[in-house]
Amino acid sequence: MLISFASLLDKDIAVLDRASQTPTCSEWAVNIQRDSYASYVGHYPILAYFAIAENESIGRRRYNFMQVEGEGMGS
Amino acid sequence: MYLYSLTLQRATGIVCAINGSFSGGKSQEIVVARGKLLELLRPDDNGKIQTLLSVETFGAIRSLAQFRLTGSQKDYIVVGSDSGRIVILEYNKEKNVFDKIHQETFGKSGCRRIVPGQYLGIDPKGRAVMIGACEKQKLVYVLNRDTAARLTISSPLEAHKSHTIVYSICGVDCGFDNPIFAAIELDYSEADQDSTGVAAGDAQKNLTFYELDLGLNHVSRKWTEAVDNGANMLVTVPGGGDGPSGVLVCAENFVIYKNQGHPDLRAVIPRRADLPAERGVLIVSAATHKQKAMFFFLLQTEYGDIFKVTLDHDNDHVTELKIKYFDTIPVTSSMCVLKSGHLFAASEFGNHAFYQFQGIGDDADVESSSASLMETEEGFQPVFFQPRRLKNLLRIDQVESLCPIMDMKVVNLFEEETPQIFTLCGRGPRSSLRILRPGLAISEMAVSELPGVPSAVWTVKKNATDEFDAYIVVSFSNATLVLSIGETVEEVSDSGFLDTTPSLAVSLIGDDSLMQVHPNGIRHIREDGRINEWRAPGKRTIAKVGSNRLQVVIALSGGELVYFEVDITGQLIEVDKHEMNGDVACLDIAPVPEGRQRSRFLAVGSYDNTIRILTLDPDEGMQDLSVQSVSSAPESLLFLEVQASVGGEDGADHPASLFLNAGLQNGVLFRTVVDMVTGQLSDSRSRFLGLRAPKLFSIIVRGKRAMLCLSSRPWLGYIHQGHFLLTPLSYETLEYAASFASDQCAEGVVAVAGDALRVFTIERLGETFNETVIPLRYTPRKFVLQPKRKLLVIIESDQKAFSAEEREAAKKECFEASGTGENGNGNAEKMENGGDDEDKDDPLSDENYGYPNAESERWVSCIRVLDPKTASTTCLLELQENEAAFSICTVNFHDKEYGTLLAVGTAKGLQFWPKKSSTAGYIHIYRFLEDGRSLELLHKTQVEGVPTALCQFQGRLLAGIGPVLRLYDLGKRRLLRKCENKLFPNTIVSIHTYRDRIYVGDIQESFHYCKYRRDENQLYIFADDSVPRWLTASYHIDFDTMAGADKFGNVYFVRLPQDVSDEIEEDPTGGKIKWEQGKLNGAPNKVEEIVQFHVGDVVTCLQKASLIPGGGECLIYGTVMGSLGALLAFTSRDDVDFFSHLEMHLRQDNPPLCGRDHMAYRSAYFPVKDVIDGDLCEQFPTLPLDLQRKIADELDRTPGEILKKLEEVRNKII
Repeated sequence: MLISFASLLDKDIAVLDRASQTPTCSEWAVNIQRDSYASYVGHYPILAYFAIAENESIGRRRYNFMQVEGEGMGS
Repeated sequence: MYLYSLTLQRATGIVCAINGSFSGGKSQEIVVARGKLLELLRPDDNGKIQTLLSVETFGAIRSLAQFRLTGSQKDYIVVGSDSGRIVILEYNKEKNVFDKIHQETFGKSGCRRIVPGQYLGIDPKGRAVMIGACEKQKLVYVLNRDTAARLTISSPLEAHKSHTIVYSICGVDCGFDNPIFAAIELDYSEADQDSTGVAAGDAQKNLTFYELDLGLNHVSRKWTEAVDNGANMLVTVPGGGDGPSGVLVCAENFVIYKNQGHPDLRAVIPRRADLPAERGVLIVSAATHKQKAMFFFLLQTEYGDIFKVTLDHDNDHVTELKIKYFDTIPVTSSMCVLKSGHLFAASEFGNHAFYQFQGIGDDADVESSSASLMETEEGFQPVFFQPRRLKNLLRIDQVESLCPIMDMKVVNLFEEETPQIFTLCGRGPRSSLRILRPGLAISEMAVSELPGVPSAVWTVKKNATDEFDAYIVVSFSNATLVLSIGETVEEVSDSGFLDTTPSLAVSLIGDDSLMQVHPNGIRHIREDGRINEWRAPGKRTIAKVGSNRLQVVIALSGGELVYFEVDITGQLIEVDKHEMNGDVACLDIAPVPEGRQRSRFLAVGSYDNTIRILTLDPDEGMQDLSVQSVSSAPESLLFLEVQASVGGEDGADHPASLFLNAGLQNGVLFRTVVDMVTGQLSDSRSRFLGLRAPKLFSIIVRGKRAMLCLSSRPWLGYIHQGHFLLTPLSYETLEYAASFASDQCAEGVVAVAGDALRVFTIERLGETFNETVIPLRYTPRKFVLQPKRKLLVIIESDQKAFSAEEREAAKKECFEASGTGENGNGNAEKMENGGDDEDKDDPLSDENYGYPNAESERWVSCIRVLDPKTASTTCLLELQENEAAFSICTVNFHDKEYGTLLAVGTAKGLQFWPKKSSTAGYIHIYRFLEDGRSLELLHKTQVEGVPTALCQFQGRLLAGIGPVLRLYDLGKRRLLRKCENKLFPNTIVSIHTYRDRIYVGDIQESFHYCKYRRDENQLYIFADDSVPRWLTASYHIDFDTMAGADKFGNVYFVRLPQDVSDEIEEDPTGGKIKWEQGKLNGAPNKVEEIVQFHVGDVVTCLQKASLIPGGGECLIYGTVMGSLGALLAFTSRDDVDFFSHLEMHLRQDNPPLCGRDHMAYRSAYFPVKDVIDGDLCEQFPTLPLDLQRKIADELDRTPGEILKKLEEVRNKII
């Protein structure tokens, strides 16, 4: 795919920059993991769904997801 | 297939809530976000929460904040959502709408990691707002005023820091110095480099202050310092003269006061004595109360305990941080302390509550302080406390919430006119079965027996200016009874009414005289007691009467109309006569328009199926203005005037309009618009109400004229938030009704039914359903019906809880330990808390305090047989030894020895973390005893996994056990394996069967269509879905079609293409050869997605049902946030075209409030396909009139026709 670099904004170039370095398998996995947890935290109904499954409060569930997001591949 | 999606019950759970004065002045309002809904609530004078405005935003609202510009009287609302935009709203009191003041785009849409919207921080002086993402990005917007005092917003200033997770953001109160924002951050860059996990363990959370330099227009990191690694939330501490400034950092087990250049003050959060040692205590919501001289914080833990936090300070130096136990209420997602001394608690699950402060926790109680903090070798010394009953708070109202709906069935179990919706709601001790019926709830104030069977009832005032009614007049077949309304209601005989004859009408006429129309004449009772009598000529009797305050028309038998008017002296004078062609069926006079002498219109219904509008203008002499023919003879007529309103409580501007309503003998309500000048009838609509001809009565609802229609059930037609709604009342059949206003009941209705007089009020206007609540013990998971016996069997289970006996023992122990003093104390308070029924018999009701926490492998569960009619549990089996029920079905085995049996799938010691594991799974088979009211265990079969789905199939039992689908037959001592298929990808969560097809839902991989070949005893998959879907609900639609819902909030339909389906049915091997070829990584055939729609909420249950008699079949769904919706299939292509064009225009001209593009929202995960969003279409009436007209023009219709269309399609659903 051809991309005209002139039409890109700074932040787009930053994205491309990162994309040009092929992520390692674990980097990719961590990215997906972080994206997922951020999405769970953002969507309240999903958070509530998890909270019901684990019988925890929604606040605790959100905190735990944020913790996992921070831990990344170290977890 | 095209579907029309309509939300029937809006979401009831609350994501976040803020309070402030949004309409300006002294009023206190609460703005709540309910997922994609933004609502404005206001407590009324009686402490009841009223919903003023509710707007669908078509975007996920994630955070809300309010701010006020200095010197201003009004709060603005900042909305952080998934739109990639910051939106600032102002509540417009006049129009009752949220006005979008600013909308600034900063990023991509969607709930992404680095797109802000998750957190909002506000400078307490209202000068700036920070909006942050979970990771990296934070943007600061400067808020200011232009010369015309309008709010301005700057371009964003970046405060990004990459490789940083953000836990919380808040503003720091530093008076009028440069605004500062605080954030809890965690830098993970080192942890990512280190694969051993050592760095991750060492990662340190920091508290960072960002300073916005208003002079340089620049944000800088001002100060950063390590903070407790359990930190999760920040609370602003008042500053700038009101307090010491700084922030409270809420961390696991601690609350820490921090400020730049100030030593930390740390205090432990007291723990419940029964809390397992490994569990921390986390603060989940906070509220601040600030007065001139003092301030305090209320922090709620994840267990529901509220602590009051106070700071001892002299000027800027804080000397002590104290945490004192305050009260315990159900866990909230947000708390709001109102200036009026109330607390609004938005529960995360279950009903929300509104409390009044009885005290502010000044009495002695368990307290922890920074001064007494003890550090030992094992860490800080914990402080323990025992929850007690409410001392500082008193619940004065609660707002019903269905959140979360776990399962739902629509069935007419009570054999009423419409089916009931049975929903399993709530979690843990606050679980309930709620029976929903379409209609408004009423509260009955009084029922009194009358000496005979009354035929009619009226209420009259003595003077037009009176606030309350003076008399209730009841007519019997041969007498009239007059009751005077005072402290009590009692019979009087001095009213001047003739009591030896039945009455046809009783009303106030002129300013202060009363009129009684009886078959032989009209009795006019003047204020001074003089009585004028008009007698019907000859042997004719009066048949029908219509009147307003100044005009009376009577119809004599035979069809002659006689018209009277009240003259200036208050005399009733005969003005005109008019001969009709035949008997008059009914008549009504329009109310006298404001400032006029008389109303011009008389409506007359005749038995020849016509309704005529006659003029009452003295110059025109009662001639016909228009004629409308109707489908059946009219029984009752009512003019309903909608007064012109500009703004006001109901919102948008309405020109005055006049509606003529007619109840026809075939049970249809016919409604048409009357031209105020010419009397022409136009824009007619009809709706079937019930089996009896509706009788129409004018009553007052919220100060406005409304219509009560009495058919086989009562209906109310009223205007709510600018819409005319016609809703059934959940009440018995009534004969006759009148509005009722008295000291005790300002807006009531008095009605007669049978031989009783009933007084009731109508509550919670605007709601679609009213509910009957039956409490349950644990989180309900699923339920099945025994339709023949009208019983429900419910499975309930909870993780991390003690069994009933253990709880009982612990409770006893706890009371013994605390001694009798505490008990005595508890009793004293019991009296105070009289309003709360649940609390009465139980000193520490689990509903309020939750179940004590246990280890994660502990489970409690029960199987319950419930009779919904009497709301009684006829059998309750508590499962033992950490066994929990996950699936349930009724099954009839081939050998009919036992009849219908109940199969329940259970797991023992199930754990999700660190890996999903269980010690054993079982399938229990129960036999019904005592006519289904009780259960007896027949046998229990151990299986290798958790049986998550069960279904009857050809006289056998199909079970989904992890990835295995297995067919069982009933044996004497256990179930016998007959056949199995192990080829399912993950875990089977649903099984539906139809003929020889089996539709299996996988937790992660959508549907698999299977077939069972009896001859070869083989189960095989012949088709599956190509899209991975995390199924949360499924329903079988037809032979080839399944409806499903996934975890991300989508509803979709898949269908096996017709040719493939035929091929499989015709193929003698049933597609088996093809299956054996093993192509395409899975099944040889793929189903096609035919419908796709993003609901925006996790759908947990689906069912196809028709909610009204004669209505269309729709797919009803229930969601985690407690909303109910319906998908109705269109029956004509024209409708599809019309609605898709309407939707398209609305998308363009009415962009959603929080800035998310409507199309993008409905296509959030998959492109929306063949579903028209009725919620968007129903916003049409809320648009400004010129915009309505513009859209209508483009559709080649009038706005009225569009409204009619919208009403029609809604009436097909509910």
